[in-house]
Amino acid sequence: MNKEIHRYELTYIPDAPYIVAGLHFFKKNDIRDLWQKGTVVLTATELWLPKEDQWDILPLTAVEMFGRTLPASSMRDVIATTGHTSVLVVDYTKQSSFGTHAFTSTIIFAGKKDAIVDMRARMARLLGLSRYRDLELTEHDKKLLYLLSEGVKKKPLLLMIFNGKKEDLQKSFDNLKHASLCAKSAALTSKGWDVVARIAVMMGEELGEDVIAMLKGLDLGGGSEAVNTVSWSNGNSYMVGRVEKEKLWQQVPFPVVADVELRDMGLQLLITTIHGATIRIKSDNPMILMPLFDMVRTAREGISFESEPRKHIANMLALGVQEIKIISGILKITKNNVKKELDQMFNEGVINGKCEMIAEGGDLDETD
Amino acid sequence: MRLIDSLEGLNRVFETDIIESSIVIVEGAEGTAKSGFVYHMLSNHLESTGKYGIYVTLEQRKESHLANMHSMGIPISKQLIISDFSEYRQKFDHKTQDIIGMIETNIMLFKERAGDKFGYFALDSLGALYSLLNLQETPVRKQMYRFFDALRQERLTSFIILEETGISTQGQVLGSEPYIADGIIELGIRRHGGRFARDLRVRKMRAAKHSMEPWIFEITPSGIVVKEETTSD
Repeated sequence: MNKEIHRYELTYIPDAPYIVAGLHFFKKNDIRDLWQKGTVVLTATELWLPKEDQWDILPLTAVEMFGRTLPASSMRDVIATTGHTSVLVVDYTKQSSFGTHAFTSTIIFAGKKDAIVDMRARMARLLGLSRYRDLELTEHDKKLLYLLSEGVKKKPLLLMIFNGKKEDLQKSFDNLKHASLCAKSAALTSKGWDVVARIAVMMGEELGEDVIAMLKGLDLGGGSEAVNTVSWSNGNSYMVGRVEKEKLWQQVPFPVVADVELRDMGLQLLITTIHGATIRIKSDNPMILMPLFDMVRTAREGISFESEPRKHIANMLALGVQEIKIISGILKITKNNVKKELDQMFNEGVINGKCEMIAEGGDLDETD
Repeated sequence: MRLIDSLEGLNRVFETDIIESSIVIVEGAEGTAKSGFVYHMLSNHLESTGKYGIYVTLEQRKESHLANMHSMGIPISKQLIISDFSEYRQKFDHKTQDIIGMIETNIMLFKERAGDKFGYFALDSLGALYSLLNLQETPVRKQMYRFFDALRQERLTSFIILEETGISTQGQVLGSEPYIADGIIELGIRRHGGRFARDLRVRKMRAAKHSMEPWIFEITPSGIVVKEETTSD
């Protein structure tokens, strides 16, 4: 009888009426009495909640939604009554006492962040999108949904993930709205939150926590010129200096890169070469290092820049390189093809006549 | 205390004890006090030995089961934990995928709490379990074999209640349980000496010496008492 089970020390309300509006369904004084404490067990097929000397069991197949957010007023009540700020909401269906109809009930778990995050991740793996078989989401749609859930709504940031393709971003946004996963304002619906809960782990791994953290932390205000420093070291040899954004790509020995890493929330690019040299490029604007990172990684993996010309041309433009000849030379894409892509980007409104990326600072929001 | 000393008079039916980790089917028709027989034997035994057990009820609510035991004069033991799956069935019957897996999890979690003192298991009833099995995926015989094997591996002395309905269930059609169980105790209501009385008969009990005759038992103010050997009319 060896089963994989996971235990979490949690505080929970095991059987609340489906809470749409929040905990204020209950009298304030009663909320404290509703919470129970104990070791909650998650198996591959059920959630086991301790109750006196036995257990309340919830089959995972009965879970309708999980991971939705509570209204701010309810969160305040949770914090006030449990002291915890991390919450996991699980909505499930059960039969009425007479078995004549099914209704939705809710479990609210509160606890330490580590426990809640781990349980949420495991439930996501176990539940997946099994109950959304009719939902035909592309990888782009999932990425967009996930980023919106993380609060990344600025169009220029989202376009970075969509390789600068505005039409792809719009198409995904339309798909999410059509599937009732988000509203016109890009705010997620309950269904959207549930889907996010199920794909979050996968998307987090795919996009990379660093990238997500960086996107969340970016300030698109523009303003002062970024300060970039480059240091080169190999054994006892060491060089350091300041480099303009437009010249940064010249500091990267593309053909001899052995490894590349984006560190410090996107503020440092660490490159090692096959000759043992270490190159650190630091910038106070992660918007600069991210495209450079993408290019170096592509080169290191031996992938031709031509395989995704639009993306890498956008990377070069983001690095301030606008001359067709230079772009063509670095990316090994013919001048004609570079020009063709630039024309298309201009026609789509991605760049202006000076080949500068048009920073649409606005959010993905279609409400009037 | 031996298991057979746990019910007054039962040690007259058995010469030697039911061995540890045995799986015993207790079968009988409605009203033969199967639940009371198993519960009383286990609760007395656990109280006297300091051990623990779980009594899984798939049909009857815990409160109802305990009220029934109380009405038969059977003492309630806190060392025999009632795992009430009836509420679960009512709420999630249609969502259940692997009821045997759930019972196994229940055993595992309880073992974590009680440790080595956990040594007894009862299931009420096999018929209810059959109704929850997914017979399309795995044949019932295979599922029962896996279940009984798991109980043995956990070294649990187990009592499985089986109600004779007169109508064969899918499990009974296959008839595998008598072969894979270690013991069968049959409870009945029969005419003895011109009156109806409850009786028990041990059809088989591996590695134990026992009478093959029916023995009358009664429900007294202090629970179940095995009275006398008899022969059915």
